[in-house]
Order: sequence, then structure tokens, then C-alpha cells
Amino acid sequence: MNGNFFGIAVLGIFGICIIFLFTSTGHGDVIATTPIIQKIGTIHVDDLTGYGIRILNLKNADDITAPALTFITGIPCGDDVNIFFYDGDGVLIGTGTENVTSCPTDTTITISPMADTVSTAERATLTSVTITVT
Amino acid sequence: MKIILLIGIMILSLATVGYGASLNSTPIVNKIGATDNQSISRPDMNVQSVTLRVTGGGNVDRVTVVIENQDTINAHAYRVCAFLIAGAETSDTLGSDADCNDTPVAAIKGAAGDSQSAVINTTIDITTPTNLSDWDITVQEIS
Repeated sequence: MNGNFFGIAVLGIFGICIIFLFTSTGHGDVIATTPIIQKIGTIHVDDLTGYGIRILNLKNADDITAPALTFITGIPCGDDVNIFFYDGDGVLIGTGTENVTSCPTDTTITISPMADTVSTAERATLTSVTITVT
Repeated sequence: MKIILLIGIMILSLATVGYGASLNSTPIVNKIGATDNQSISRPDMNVQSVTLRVTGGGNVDRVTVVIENQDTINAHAYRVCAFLIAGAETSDTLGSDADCNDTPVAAIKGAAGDSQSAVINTTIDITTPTNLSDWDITVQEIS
């Protein structure tokens, strides 16, 4: 008799546990649910040259040391092509200037060496590029 | 003996997850001021080059973007969008995804023996060819 009662009690408790488990959440181990948000990055190019930048080539190295710019029309002799790189906070992370000597037929200007190159770590934060001709 | 069995089941139940009902865990984003405290990080990639195709009329009708996956663990595909601004003129309606293109999967950077390349390119035809001026290239990691 005692044995039967004990068996029924165990089954009852066991059943309650099963029902509890299948109808509730959050009572177990830590639930590590990292929300998946697709990463988005934007690079904004500010062309303030007036000559029309057709190609912006930042090259395939991890850092930026010699960006090349191709313009629709040639830049006048003696002018400077300036490039400025900014991160998302608007902080200048790289800059360079190239004086145009092969002109005006050469529409591709490679800025090298740069006054301040963009390192690999800085390139990961690159958000905006401004190009001017002075 | 039965008590020990029961205690064992309870320990197993409380130490594991996934045996209960569906886990509806909606991420809770704390709001600060008028904006959501939601940080969307930049994909681990580099835009290597952007080439604009300029028509005879001086409008840009096509943009080619070269991207390198910088992730050394996972391969990724990207959705690349181009948006050109020439004064009040824009190449597409803001918020539209017409001038977007999905890239093939870019391989893991530096993966040995991988037949795929970490460098991929995509070409976007511009809905409304626009005079050359400022431009935005947006890269979204979609896988």
C-alpha cells in the first residue's frame, strides 16, 4: 500500500515537472540569444573638384597608401589634388596631396606618398572621402 | 532510489535549455532620449574601388564596386547600393532598393586553397542616370 502511494506520488511530481517544462520558458540555463543585425557600412564620396571623379581606387592592400583618382577631364598643370579620409565620427584619419605635373592629358592621379596614410585599423572605420583640387 | 531519479531529472531540467516551450526572446533595446540605443556595426570588408560609367551626356548610368571580405573566419555576401547626388537631383528615390545588387559570396580572407576569392565585384545599373557629383556606396552584409 505504502509502495503504491509512493509510486503515484513520484509519478505525480514527475508529471508536474514535465508539464512545467513544456509550458514555460526561462527557468533553465542561461539563454544566449544574440540578436542578429545585418551589418551595414557606407562610404560617402564628396567630389568637390568640379572635374568629375570617375574612378576611386583605394587599392587592394589592407591600408591606404596610394589612392588613385580618375577624372573625366584633365586637371590643370600645377594644381594640387587633395584627398581627405574621415571615420564615422568625422575624424580625419588620412590625407594626401599630389601636384599635377602630367597634364592635362593624364586624367588619373595617384596620390603618393600621402602625408598621413590610412592604416589597416583606420580603414575599418572609413566612412567618408572628400576630394578637392586647389 | 526513486527520489534520486527524480532529483536527477530536476537537475537535468534546470541545467539545460530547449526542453520547454518555444523561446520567444525578443531583443530588448534600451531607448535613450529620442533615439534607439541600437548599434549597427560596419561589415568587416573594404571597398577597394568604385568605378562610375559616365555617358556622353555626363550622366552616371552604371556603378561598379569592388569589395574585399576582411573576415578571416566567415565568408560573406553583400548587398551593395549606390546613391548619387547632384544638387537636388538624385539617382534613385531615397529608401528604394532599386539601385542595389547582391554580390556572390566572398570567400574568407586568406583562406588557403579556397577556389573563391575574398575579392568580389558587383555592377549596379542606375535607375535614373545622374550627373556626376557626390555619391554614397552602401554595403550590407546579407550572409
